[in-house]
Amino acid sequence: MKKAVIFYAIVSLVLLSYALHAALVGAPTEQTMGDVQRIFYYHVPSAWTSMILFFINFCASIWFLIKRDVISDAIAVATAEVGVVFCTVVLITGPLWARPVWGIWWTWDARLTSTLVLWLIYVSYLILRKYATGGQTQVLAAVLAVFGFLDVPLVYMAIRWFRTQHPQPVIGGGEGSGIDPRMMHALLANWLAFMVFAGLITFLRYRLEIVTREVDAEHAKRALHDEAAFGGAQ
Amino acid sequence: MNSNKFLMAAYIVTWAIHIGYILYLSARTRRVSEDLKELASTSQRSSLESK
Repeated sequence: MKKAVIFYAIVSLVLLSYALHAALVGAPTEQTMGDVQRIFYYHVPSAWTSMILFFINFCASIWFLIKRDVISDAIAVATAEVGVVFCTVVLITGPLWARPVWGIWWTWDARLTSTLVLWLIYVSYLILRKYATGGQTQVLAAVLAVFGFLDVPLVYMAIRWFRTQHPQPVIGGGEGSGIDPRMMHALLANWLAFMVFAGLITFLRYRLEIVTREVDAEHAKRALHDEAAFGGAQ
Repeated sequence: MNSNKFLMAAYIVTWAIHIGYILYLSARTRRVSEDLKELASTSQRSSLESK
């Protein structure tokens, strides 16, 4: 297992290095924005990756509500946490691009606002899981995840449904959309690299969740055993 | 437009977030592994004592 993780980590490091080179050197400089447009190669793949992670969280949460199994719940926690990490990257790199291009850090348009709401939903999910006590925490979290996911299609479609300051889609945006093939190559290379990297850290987080539950269960078992022994002695 | 500092900031912040998260994960993994080891050693001790 350890060897497989190391191999996977090396593969993701190689892909990330290649993707970084493609973004900074391989892709041509955009004519109007200049080099700051290269933020796009980290911003967009991070957004796509977070949406995919939230989709897996959604599926795992539904599965948990049906079957109540530990594995789907652990997958849900892992994907939500890593998804929040990627969504944080999106929310920071976006304003860093907007400041030199728009002249402002932030505007309350539909895409930006719905993305911030998405981030807040999944942060709430993680806070609920960490601090709520009682036997129904996992069920409540799963329900929150299922309804929280409804914001993902809204984020994705916001630039198609509403008039926003956020740029229009460059892929699947209809006639007139599209980018230079070298830009597209850099974009897809970064997306692949981030997806592989996200897979690795999600797996590590999932494994941590499983081991943590085993340790907690063992502690609980011992506490019960000690209590029984102490009660018996009295 | 001197926008290179924004480009650099975006890439640095992205990697700072990812590396920070990996460090957080490894610290938590280390803590849980130590806990697991401690549990294993105490259960071994108690089974020896019961014999």
